[in-house]
Order: sequence, then C-alpha cells, then structure tokens
Amino acid sequence: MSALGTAKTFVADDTAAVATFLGTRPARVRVRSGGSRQLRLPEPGDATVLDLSRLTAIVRLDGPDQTCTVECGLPRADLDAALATCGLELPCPGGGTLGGLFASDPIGASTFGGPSPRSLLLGMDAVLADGTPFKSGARVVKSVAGFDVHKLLVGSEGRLFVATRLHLRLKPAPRCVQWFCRTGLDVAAAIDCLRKLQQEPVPPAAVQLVRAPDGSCAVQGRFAGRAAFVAEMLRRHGLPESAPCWRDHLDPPTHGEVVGGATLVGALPVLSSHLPANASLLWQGGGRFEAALPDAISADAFLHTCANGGVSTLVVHGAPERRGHGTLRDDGHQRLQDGLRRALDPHGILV
Amino acid sequence: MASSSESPSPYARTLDCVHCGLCLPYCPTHQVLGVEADSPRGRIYLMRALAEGRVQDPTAIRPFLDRCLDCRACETACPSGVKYGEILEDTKARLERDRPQRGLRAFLVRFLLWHVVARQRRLRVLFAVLRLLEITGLRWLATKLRVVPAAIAKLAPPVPPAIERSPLPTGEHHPPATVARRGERVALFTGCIMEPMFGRVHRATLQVLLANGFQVVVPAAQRCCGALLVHAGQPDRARELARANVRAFADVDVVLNNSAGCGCAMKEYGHLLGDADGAAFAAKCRDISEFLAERGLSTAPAECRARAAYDDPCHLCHGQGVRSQPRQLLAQVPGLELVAHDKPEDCCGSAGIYNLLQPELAGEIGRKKIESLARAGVDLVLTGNPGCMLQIDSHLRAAGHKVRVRHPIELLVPPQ
Amino acid sequence: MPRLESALVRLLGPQRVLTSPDALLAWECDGFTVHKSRPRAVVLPESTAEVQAVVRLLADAQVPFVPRGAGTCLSGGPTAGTTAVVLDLSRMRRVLRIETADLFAVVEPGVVNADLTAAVKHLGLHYAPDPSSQTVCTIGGNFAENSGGPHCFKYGMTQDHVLAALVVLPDGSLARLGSPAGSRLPGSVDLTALFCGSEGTFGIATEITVRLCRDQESVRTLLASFATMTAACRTVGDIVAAGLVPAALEILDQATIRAVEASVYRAGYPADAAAVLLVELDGPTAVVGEEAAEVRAAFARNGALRIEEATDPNERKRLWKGRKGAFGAMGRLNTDLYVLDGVVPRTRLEEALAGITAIGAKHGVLMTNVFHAGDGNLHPNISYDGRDAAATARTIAAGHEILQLCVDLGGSISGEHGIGTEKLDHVRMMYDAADLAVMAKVRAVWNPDDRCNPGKALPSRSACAESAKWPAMTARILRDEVRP
Repeated sequence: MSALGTAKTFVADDTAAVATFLGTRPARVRVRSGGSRQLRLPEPGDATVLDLSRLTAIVRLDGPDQTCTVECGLPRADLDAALATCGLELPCPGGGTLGGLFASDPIGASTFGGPSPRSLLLGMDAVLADGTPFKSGARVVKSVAGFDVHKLLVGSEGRLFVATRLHLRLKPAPRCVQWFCRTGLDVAAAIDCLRKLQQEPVPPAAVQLVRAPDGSCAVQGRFAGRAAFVAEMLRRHGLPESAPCWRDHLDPPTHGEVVGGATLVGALPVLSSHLPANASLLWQGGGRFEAALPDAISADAFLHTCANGGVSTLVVHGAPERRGHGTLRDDGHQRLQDGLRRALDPHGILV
Repeated sequence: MASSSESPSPYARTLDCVHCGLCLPYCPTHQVLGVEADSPRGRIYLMRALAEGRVQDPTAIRPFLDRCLDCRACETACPSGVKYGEILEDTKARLERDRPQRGLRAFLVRFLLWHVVARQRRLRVLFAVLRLLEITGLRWLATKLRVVPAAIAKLAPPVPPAIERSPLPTGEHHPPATVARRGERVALFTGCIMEPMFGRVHRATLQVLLANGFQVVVPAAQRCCGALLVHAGQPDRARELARANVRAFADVDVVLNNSAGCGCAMKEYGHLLGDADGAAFAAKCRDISEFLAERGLSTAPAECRARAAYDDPCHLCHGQGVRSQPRQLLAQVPGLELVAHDKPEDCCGSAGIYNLLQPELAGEIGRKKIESLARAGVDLVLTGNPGCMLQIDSHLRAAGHKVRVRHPIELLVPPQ
Repeated sequence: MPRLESALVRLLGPQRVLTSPDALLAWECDGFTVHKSRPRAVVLPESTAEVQAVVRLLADAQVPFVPRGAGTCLSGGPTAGTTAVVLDLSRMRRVLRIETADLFAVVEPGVVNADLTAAVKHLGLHYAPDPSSQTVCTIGGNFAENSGGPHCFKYGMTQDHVLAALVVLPDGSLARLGSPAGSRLPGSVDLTALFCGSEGTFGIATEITVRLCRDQESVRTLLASFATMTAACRTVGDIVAAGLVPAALEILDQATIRAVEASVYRAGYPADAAAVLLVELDGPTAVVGEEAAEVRAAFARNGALRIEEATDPNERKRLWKGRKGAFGAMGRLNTDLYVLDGVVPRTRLEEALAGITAIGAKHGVLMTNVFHAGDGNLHPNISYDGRDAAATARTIAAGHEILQLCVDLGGSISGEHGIGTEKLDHVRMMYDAADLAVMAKVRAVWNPDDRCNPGKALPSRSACAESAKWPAMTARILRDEVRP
C-alpha cells in the first residue's frame, strides 16, 4: 500500500460527497474502500484516492425479506455480525469491505454452481465519473426492469463508476455446519474426490483444492444443512472433520507471480500438469483458481499454455506493470469491454 | 357475414385463444417447420384476422391452413378450450365458397372426393382396376413413366385381393347359438376406404361383436361419413351424406365405428348439421373400443404372442378423447406384451388424404413416428384408423422394418 | 420484390423468407396481445453463419430487426415495428453439447426449455429455470428476457444459469461472452449477465452455454388450501422465517382455481378455498422429510383447510398442472387477458394483495391472482374484452395503478416478464432520467444505431413512430381514465 500512502486522498461521508467530489472534475481517481486489494491493481500514479472507508452504514436490514442495503465501505465482518443476530448470511466468500469484495470479486463462488457476489447483488446506488448519481436494479429479490448495470460493478475494480450503496440478497444461515479437510492426496486423487462431490445433488457449501509447492494436495471445505445430512455426506465421501479451514488466496510470494483464472474440474488435470513442480495452486469450487509461480518466465509459459487450452488467465499479483497481463479474451468481448469503459467514463478518470 | 346454418361464427370462437402458445409443441407441422403461421396459434390468429377483414388476399394464408393435418392435438393441449377443428373447418368452407381453389389438382381432389370416394360402388370399381393394374405390372410402368409421383408410388401399399375387398353383407347378423346373447342390437358403420383396403377389419369387428353376444345390423342405405369433404371445405356436400346417414341409422341406439376419423366426424354431426337430429345421431356414435371396453368382453380373445405398441389415432385421442379403452381391451389379449413408445399421441402424418396432398411434410411427420416405434423395438403396431394403418405400414416398409400393423379389433377375435 | 427481400431470398431460399403481408399477420404480437404491429418480413435462419449474414445485410441496408423465439413473451419483446425484419430462431433448435461431468450444455437459441431437460433427463440432470411456458418457450428467449419461473426462489433466474454465449452483434460481428467455467471472465466484467435480460436489444445469441443441475434424490409437493388469502401469505412468511428454502412457493387465488378447474389442466384444487398454496421441497430424502413436517406444522398453525401431498411423479405433475396451465385457462373468463407482473418485498405481500383487490374493484375489472409468493412476484391477471375500448382502458388504468403500488411498497414493475413495449411508460416509476441515461449508454455500446429490437426495454426520446404508438396510447387512456 506504499503507492497509495503518498497520494492525495479525498474521504467521502456519503453518496452526495462522492458526487460532489467527482463533480470537481479531478483528472484521475482511484477508488478505495478498505484498501486490502489495492496491491492487485496497477499503480495509481498521480491519481487522487477516493476513500469510501467511512461509508459504513447498514442502511436497511430486512430479516424476514432476506435482503439488506449497505454502504460500500462497510467491513464484511460487521455485516456478518449483524446478520448472525437474525439467522442470515451472505453466502459468498471474501473479506475486506463489501464495496471492495463486489468490485473485485477475486474468488467467485465457493462451490460448484454456488452463489457468487454477482448473483447476490440486487441493485446499487452509484456515481458516474462525471459526478452524476444514478441507480440500477432494485431492493427486491427479483427484478428485470431496466438493464442490469449494477452487475457491471462485479469485477470492474471501480473503473466504470463509483458504487456507494449495494442492495444484497441474503440466505438463511444453515442449521449445522461442519468443516472437512482431506490432506495428503496426489493430484489425481484430489480431482477424483472433487468429481464425486461435484455430482452430488447437494454439493458442499464450500470446497477447494490446495496444492502445496511439494505437490501434495488437500481437498477442504464445509457441508451445511441439517445435522444428519452433513454427517452422511462426510461419511459417504470419507472426509475427515476439521476446524474451520478456508483460504481466500494464496500467500503472495516474496518473489514471483500469482496467476489467476477460471476453469472447470475437467480441465484441472491438464492445468496442474503444466504447473512447475514447485508451484502452488488454489482452486475454488466455483471455478476460480490462483497459481503461484516462482518467476515471470514460468508465469508467462503457464499463461501461454492456459491460453492454448482455452483457459482464461491473468497475472493478479506481481510487478505493477505486469498486473492484468495475459488474459485470453475474444476480440468481440474486448471491444465491448473497452466500449463500456469509454461509454461510462469517457475521459478515463477512474483508474 | 355468417349464414344462419353456420352460427356461432368462427370469429367468436377464435376469441377464446389468448395467444399463450401452449399448443405449439403439440402441433406436428410446427414441430417440423418451426413457423408461427404453421402452428395452431398462428393459424387461429390468421383465421381471426380473416374474419376481421384484415386479410387482403385470402389465398396468401391458404397454404398455412392447407398444411394443417386437422389432428386436433392442439385441442388437447389448449387450456382455454378453443375448438380449433370447428374454426378450421368453418373457415375452410368459407374460403372454398368465396374463392374455390382452381387448377387441375383442386379439381381432381373435388372430383374424387365427391364422385368416387363418397360413392361406394364406384370406389369398388376403382380398386378393382387398381388391383388389375398391379397384377399386370402396369403400376410399375405408370411409376416409371412418372404418371404417378415416385414418392406416392413408393409408399402406396398393394391393393388386397378381391376376396379381402368384398363388402360385408348388409342387413341383420345374429350371434351364433353357442354364445350367450346380451340382447343389445348395434349398427356397424362401414365407411369408404376401410372396406376395399381393410375388409378384414370389418369382418373381425363383426366377428368380435357377434362372439360377444351382440346383434349387429349393417344398414344398406349408409353412406360415406363426409369427413374428407368437411376437411376440403365442402360442408354442403358433407351435409348431404350426413343426412343420409341419420336416416340410415334411425332405428338403432348405438352406431359403432372402427375408423377413428369417421367416428370423430360422425360425433360432430351436431355441429355440421346444426340441428337436433344431427346432435341426437352424434350421441349414438361410439368407437368400437369405447363400446367394448364399456360393455366388457364376454368371450376372451385368441392368444397373440407379440411385442406391440398401441399408437393413438389423432381423431380417437384428441378428437374423441378415447385413450385408455383400446389399451384396456388389448391388455386382455393373452400373450400380448404392450410396450410404451414416445409420443403415441403425435400424428403419423396420414390425416385423411393429407399424405397425398402434402407428401413431403407427411413424410417427415411419418418418419418421426417410425423412429419412435423403432426405438420401442416392437414387432406389431396397433392403431384404429385406416389412414394411420396405411401411413405407418408404408413408412415402416419404406424404412425396411419388418413390423406388422393391425387394427386393435383384429386381436380381439376369439380362438377359432 | 424489393432489393432487401430478394437478397434475403438469395441467402436463405424462398421457403425461409416470408414477405406476404397477410401471412405476416401471424407475427403481429406475442403473449401481450394489446400491442400489435406487423413486421416487414420474417426470416428463419438455421445457423450462426446465416444469422450473421442476415444481420450484415440488414446493417448495410440500415434496416431494424427483431429476434424472436416462441413468441410467448408477455411484454411485447418480440413484437416488431412495421419497418423491421423478424429473425425467427425457432429452427435453430439443436442441443450442441452435453457435458455430464462438468454439468453444462451448449444449445442453440431455439431449443425449447423443456426439451433441454428432456434431453438430459436420462443422465439424472435437468435445466433448472422453469417459466410456466417451459414446454413452449425457448432458451434464447429466456436468456434475452432473464426469465424466471416457480423454482426461482431456490434456484435463481435464467441469469444464474447461463455461463456463456456466442452473440451476433448488430453490425454482424461476433462476440464470445463468458466461459463454461463462469459467466465472468477473470479480469473482466460479467458481459453474460449484462446481456441476460437485455430483451433482445444487445444482439442475437446463437449459442448459449447453460448450467445443468443434478436431479434431487427426493421431491415432495404439498398443497394446502386456506379460507383467506391472508392465511396463505402468512404461511409463506412462517416457512421462510423457519429458514426453509423450498424449491417453490406458489399461491393461486379462488378465481384462478375455478378457471383452472374448468380447463383441461384441472388439478383437483378445492374450488371453495380462498387460496391454495403449493410448496415444493427437494433434496436428500431424510432432509425433505423433516422439512415437510415443518411445512405441515406451518400449514396447521395458519388454519389450513385441506392438505394434500404428492410423493410420486404423477401426483406431483397433477398438482403442478393447474399452476402451469393457469395463464391459458384465463381464456375461459373473457376474450382477452392482460397478465401483469410486479414484485414487492415478500413481507409486504398481504398489503399488496389488499391494494390490488381495491384497485380492481375501483376500476370494475375481473381480476385473478396467481403468484410466486416466495419471491414476492405477483401476477395479477385482468380478463377483459379487447373489442370494448372502455373495458380496455379500465384494464390498462388498473394495471398502471397496480405497478405504482408495487413500486411504492419498495418493489419492481417487473419480476420476470420484462419491459418490452408494455411497460415503457412505467419504467419511470423506478428510474429517473439519469438512471435511464446510463442504461442507454450501456445499450449503445452493443447497439449503437438502435436497429436491434428498437423501442424496447427503455423509453426513448427518438423512438420510431410505431414503437411510440403504444406508450402514447397508454398515456391517452390514463389521461381519460383518471379524468372524473
């Protein structure tokens, strides 16, 4: 966070302040709420930091309706504590502030076909780069009125508009949760275990594969639901109970790079066969993965192999000029993505 | 615009349709063509527009109506209870009255329907000639010379020998002395094409009825049911036949049919004639399977070792709502294994003379039926309508399957 | 024949290009029959390459076009202006790929929703989103409209089940959105989710990758009848508050029950009940058993009159039959039907229904209610005679007030039917000019000259004449109706 330490900062207290600030036409702006994910973004350079960390209100929490409205600077832990009091949860992984969690969505879903931040985002209040406030979506669990501009927040890294409030869908907290961790597997055995879990009509609530640099693998996660069901699933798949164990990310290597991407279980054997022996891998049940590679050369080789296999990847952690490098993207897709940025932020203010 | 005999107007009945589209997947032509105007919803919409005077050139919508098989599968699917068949038949009649179709083909169809099919004696002569052509090899020659379209020639079945074509004796038939009589007298309708092509079905029907203790009358004055004329948009000529039938069957309480198409048409005489006589006649009509299932078999059928599929004729399942009865009767045949196949209620593409008028589309629809039957792996197909029997049989033969096609009544004949 | 039409015929052959104005009447409207407009032509492409070729021709000629599936949309989405060409995708109906291990399928847009499930049934799989028209409606149409259905409460909308798409953009170029590993490519935003629900205004999806779901071990469907609508709504609240997530929570009111029971979709619902509640539970057998007991307890607590339960597929089909056929069965009540679609927070259901009843009484319209109670997604249906101008005006005025009520209660003007042309006038109840300007900017990225399904989804200042006709008509009707 050293890069941001020296930058000019504007701290906003509410949506109106964000609009007012952007209305002053700053040249370049970097949006930040908790700041925990800034290291995954390119250097902001001379941009002014728009700090949302004081937007921490739970504006509305409708327990019986299972929806809530929160400000973007609200720490996830604070929301979780409030939800626990009414027997609800936000069923997607990730920490930091909610704004950061939704704008970067670094983990996706935690299980096969499970809920992701995108599927839980019902609507938002936001401000365009030129200072115009607008809203999208609704507070209710189902609405198809208008285009889903709010869904563009997810993965935008704050570069399309500045979201200030989010309307979220919540789910009842499960009656029983049991974590499991099966260690000491080779890659083939670990993938076989995942395959079997994937074919369950009710898969685990969270599941991930962790490959250590020594090549040994672990399959870990948790089952949720009624006690008898949870016990039966652990028994059926021979999964030992464990204390809570979950990794959002690989530890950033002291040197080398982390490559992020998405792939199905079916492509995991090929993917892992292309990893250098001493690389570690973290694959989330929703399909997103991270691979830590010892250096930029092996990272490039891995990116290249993935691209040839149709697996979409990019550098998520590395030297600032390398971040975002390597994504495999279709021309039409790239044109649309660039077009959206030009349409919503024509002067390229949000960086 | 409605003449007094044709009320309520077809327009009023098109209004029952709320355009929900639940009929689309049940329509054989929509399944093949994927065209809105070739779906029940689209056709109703066009007929409604015609009635509203919004159609400038009715000949432009005619092909879509002509491609309809009138199988009534859409009526089964319709949550609003739209009487599609009645709307279609009335609309066709109006179109034919206001702008009769021209050209040789239209003339030939009209001529054949009225002057041959509707006159049993001439039809017998025609079949005798066809049989002669076949025996002498002239059919082969005619096909070679392209006098007969190749597709039809390939699918047309051979004409049975004279002994099978001979008509049922008219008048009263009494159960044999060995059988316990039920004391009920029923009439048998013999129709047009059934007799020369499937005389054996008539004989089986008579045999089953007598063996089960019923007294049967075959009125000599009965005529063609008129269904084909109704479908061709000629209800006036059909009414003439219908009135003759009402008279011919005046002294019986039950009129039995072994042809689903005829049975359906006759159950709709009330609508066709628009009077109490027609309605009263319609109320007397029963399909043979419906009647026998209701009364119960008193004499067990002969054994038949076969793996069989029962395929619902459209005019029996959709037109008359008769579905369980034939299956229930067939379940009483010793040795018969009745298996389910996909979509037994889908049309086979026969639809009266549809396979002659729309050979390509009928062929496509027929092939789907054969695929479904082939998947079920049966060696016998049972269906209660002569057109369906011909269509399924010819497509089975064309695809090289050695599967027999029989009318369900043929399996109910007791051991000799 | 004009040049464009000749070019289309050269491309697809005369059988797959329809230009007779009389035949084109059949494409005049979808399930929203209030607004009718006859397209210039209809073409029936059979492949991505053909769609691209047609779209390029239309781009060169600067002619607007409209994609269409089965035409079961209820908001006028596929209704084309008189200058527009309809691309009817019904013939693009191949299932291209089924991946059993990774649980996805790739289909063409004309594949019928229920046909996809039928194609994977033998593998113990199904496609979860199930609009009531699922036996007819196409996956392409579902994707364009972000269709819902009774099972959304647990399984989510179409958007939650589409992973990727191949899209022909309005200039004829191609874009690949998402991947089977996720609808959002890493390092990108979720263009797949954005496209879903764009109502055919962003382009034409010609290949759609959807998630397949494993069939649950056990499914139990319970039906309870109640003496009051309030009791039925409270039961729903109790079930949800207990932390249960049933696969479906559906309510039908008395008028709907009676119409359904008179139709071929009769399901044996008790005709004397004020409301029936249909609850479907699915999951592992033991879990479903426990949940069923809790649901029954909630029924009893709220004074259910009669409880039925289906455990075998045939019984289950029977209980669902009435719900799925409800819309069509309304045809028995009058000549025309206006199916409304609004959402309120589930906790405001009772209030909303009371308000809707009052609005119906005020305008003297015949109204029935059938709705996805778990999602707070209401479907008030108004049966009327479209030939009676006054009745039509009352219908539209009542609809307008109902949607305003939904918005006032914190809800939405559409849960699953979309805006189409039907609700162009209502969009402003939810969004102001700035919100709509952002949406228009987003659309312009995909569809810069607004030739792809013009005049839909967003009210537009420069709408072409024919698409402006309908909102203008609503406005006039509302003015006249509101005037004392």
